[in-house]
Amino acid sequence: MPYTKPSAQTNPLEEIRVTTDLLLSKNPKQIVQGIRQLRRPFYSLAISELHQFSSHSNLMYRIAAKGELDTLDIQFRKRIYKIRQKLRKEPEYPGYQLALAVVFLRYSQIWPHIPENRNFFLSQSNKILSSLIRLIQPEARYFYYRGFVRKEMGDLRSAISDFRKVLHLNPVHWGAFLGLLESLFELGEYQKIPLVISTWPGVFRHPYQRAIANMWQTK
Amino acid sequence: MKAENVLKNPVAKNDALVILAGFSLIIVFISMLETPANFWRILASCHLYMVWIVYGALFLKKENFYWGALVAIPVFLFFQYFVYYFPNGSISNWMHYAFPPALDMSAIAGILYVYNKKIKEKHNDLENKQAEEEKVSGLLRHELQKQRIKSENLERLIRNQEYTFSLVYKIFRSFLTSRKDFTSALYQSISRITQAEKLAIYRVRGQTLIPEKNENPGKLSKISLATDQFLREIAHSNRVFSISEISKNNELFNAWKKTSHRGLIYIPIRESGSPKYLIIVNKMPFGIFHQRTLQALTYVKKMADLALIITQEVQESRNTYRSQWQQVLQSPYDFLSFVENEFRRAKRFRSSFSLIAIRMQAAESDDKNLSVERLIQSVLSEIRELDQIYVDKPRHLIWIILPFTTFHEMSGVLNRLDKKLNHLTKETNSIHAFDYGFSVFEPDYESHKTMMKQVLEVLQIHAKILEKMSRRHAIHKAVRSN
Repeated sequence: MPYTKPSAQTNPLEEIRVTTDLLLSKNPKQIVQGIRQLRRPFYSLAISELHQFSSHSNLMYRIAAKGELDTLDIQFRKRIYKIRQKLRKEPEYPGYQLALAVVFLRYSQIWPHIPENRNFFLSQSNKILSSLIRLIQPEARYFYYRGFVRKEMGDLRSAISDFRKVLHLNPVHWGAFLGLLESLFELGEYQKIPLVISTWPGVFRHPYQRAIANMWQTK
Repeated sequence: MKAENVLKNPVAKNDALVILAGFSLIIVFISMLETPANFWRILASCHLYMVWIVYGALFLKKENFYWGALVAIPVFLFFQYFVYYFPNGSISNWMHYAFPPALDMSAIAGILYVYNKKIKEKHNDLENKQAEEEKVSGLLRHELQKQRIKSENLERLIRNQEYTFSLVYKIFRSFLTSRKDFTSALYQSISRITQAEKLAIYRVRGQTLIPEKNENPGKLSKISLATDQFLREIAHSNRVFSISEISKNNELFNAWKKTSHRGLIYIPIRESGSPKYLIIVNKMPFGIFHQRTLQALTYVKKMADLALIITQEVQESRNTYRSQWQQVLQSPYDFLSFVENEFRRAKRFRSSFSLIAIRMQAAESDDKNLSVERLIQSVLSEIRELDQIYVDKPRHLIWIILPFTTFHEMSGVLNRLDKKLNHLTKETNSIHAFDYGFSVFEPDYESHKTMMKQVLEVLQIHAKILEKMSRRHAIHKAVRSN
């Protein structure tokens, strides 16, 4: 089945809420429906939840969760195959290389229980992104994705340096800013977070941004 | 086909032009004959004018039509003069034949002109009105749009609040319903809000924290509060602490560094002022670690405190329900107040309630108190838990208040009481007989005061009737003894 984009743009937070409600209900049918919805939007907690359900005592849940995980696996394999086909024709094109690196990063996230697989795909992604930066051009997006890859690998200090690089190139890159904060948080550098937040040049417009800023800012 | 469409249709216009041209040619041809009949000539020229006027009114522009009419009338006159009368006619003859149709034509053109002018004025008025209406409706639409945006914002706000409220309500209900497994409800709700990867619940017992519920119970051990000042202070505080707040305060942050249990969020839960649980969130995603989550956790903490108080009170009321329910009232004020309460309840819940009065005839020689106590015991064994008894000792009366009781249920209770008390009279010789009175209060009272009046009346009537009955019993007894 080819990957099709969802027709209408939906709110991922709302989707997550609906899925959580389904999973917390007592009706097994609704729980199965919740498991089927866990695949989208793609985020690590949902994947770990799917893995928990795949070893559940209830056969229905197990089948549903494994089905969803298999679908995810197949989707990623197909995407990797397609990108490689294209790379075979144009091996020097940086767009395909970046796509491959990003798909590797996402593919690594569906293996929270097998660290070997996870680390393999992360290191592949890291390698591609590093080569892109060294050989092609030090672009902000390459640093951005490499920051996430390194954060996933547990190399938080390098991730922080990458995110800093992105912010140096594009000071109002919210994703990199959030990644930087997240890395600092995971590193346990809680006292540096308010300092970093105070250096943000833009305005916190979205309520989510404001919620995070208010949490850490000193009044 | 409609007339408007015919007018707009160019084919129809051309057809009309062709027909008209043919017609005119025929008329011209007829008039060119050497000896035409005068009557036909006049009729034909009249028709020629008329038809051209109609054609012009239908298909030409108004200005063209009027100019055309202005040009056409002299042209026709001239044409007629030249063609018909100049060679061998006189001017008076020409005037006699040619002027009436020309006058007709000009009159018709004038009427058409006036009519068109009026129509044009009306049309302009309508256009102005329409423009004004459009202007007003545009303003209205703008206002409506503003209102719609406002209402949408309000709706969104309400939806958010409803969602929060429903979540909060669900959590609170889970706390209350799962009395036995309070901690698991707490664990689930907090893990759902924080999406924590590591979460530990400790029960505070004296100076130690005992792990209550967590995912890896083997890894956690007891924590002594005596040595850990930070945890002790937090366990005895009454609010949620987060690492963002702790990191702002240097002293607190240093203390946090020294603790045996470094967490991101600490949630102390108290039971009637003393610490009961301490929840520590050890690992959670940064994306969820923000102000709204913290607010939600504060609410959860408050609800958990409240739920603990409520469960404690429920437990206490369970332990002392004998004093609350099925009590034997001693003072008449108590009795009246309880009856009033029953009224209120009946009115509030639209339910009915009943009263039963029992009068006892005790033998004079025996101990009255003893017999009354036995009577109370046997009555207590027959009634429900929520019924109450009032003992009117000087009158030898027992009142039973039966809340939420219809006539049918009350009669069942009365039958059972009758059987039991008959059995009692057979057992003991001290009691001779019983008289019963009852009344059922249906929930159709107009107001509380009239209800109360009614009850007082009923009580008095009962007492009187029962007294009479007792007198009759006494007479019977006397007759029997004689």
